[in-house]
Amino acid sequence: METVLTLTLPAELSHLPAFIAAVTEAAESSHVPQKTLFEIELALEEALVNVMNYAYAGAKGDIQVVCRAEGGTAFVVEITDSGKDFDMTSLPEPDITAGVEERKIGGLGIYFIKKLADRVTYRREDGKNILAIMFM
Amino acid sequence: MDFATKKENGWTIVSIAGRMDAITTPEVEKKLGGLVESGEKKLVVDLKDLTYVSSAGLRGLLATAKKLKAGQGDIAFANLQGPVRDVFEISGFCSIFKVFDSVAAALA
Repeated sequence: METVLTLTLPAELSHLPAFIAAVTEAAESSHVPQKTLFEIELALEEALVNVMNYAYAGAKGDIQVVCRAEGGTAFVVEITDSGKDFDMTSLPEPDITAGVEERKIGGLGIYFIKKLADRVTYRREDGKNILAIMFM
Repeated sequence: MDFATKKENGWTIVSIAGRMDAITTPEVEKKLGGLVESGEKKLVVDLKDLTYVSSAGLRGLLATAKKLKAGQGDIAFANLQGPVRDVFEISGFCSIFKVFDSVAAALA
């Protein structure tokens, strides 16, 4: 697969639009279909916001986003942070049938990533969390 | 993000246009919360011009719905478009909320 984007920015919410714009542009240039562009944008926001809110527990840190593409058929977004150990793929699914009063506020973002992506993998390497979200 | 309200048949119709993401949602949630605090009990949320919603946006809508239910109020959603409809379906929001194809249908 060919690397089409490498972008490193501070793990702060104010940088979310820059990450989304860069990844969307990379996906468009890689001829990713319109419907998949939306899925990538949503999965990316959910994954990045999680890291921005929790990984560094108030301290400063960076996020690196790397995108790889293969001939318009596969697009991978890899998100790396050096924050605390967190494997989102191991979390249980939220109860999406609970009514308004019982419905918990939270857990949906990770569920969206798992539902929208074709494959999600996590690895911890050299003190880093590496989440790879693949769209086919 | 644009936010507008009007009254019809005892309902307050709230139009939210643009995006509801982690950055824009706090402002929307504050405005919706303001409506509930000022005594509005029945809201129809018109999403005709909402192009994007993430889990942060859904959390804002859910928090408003919880406040309304606590005060015996009611909330309905109308005019969900493409990706916004997909997100409502994946999250189960289509089955826990009243969702209509038009504002007129929500008011009927």
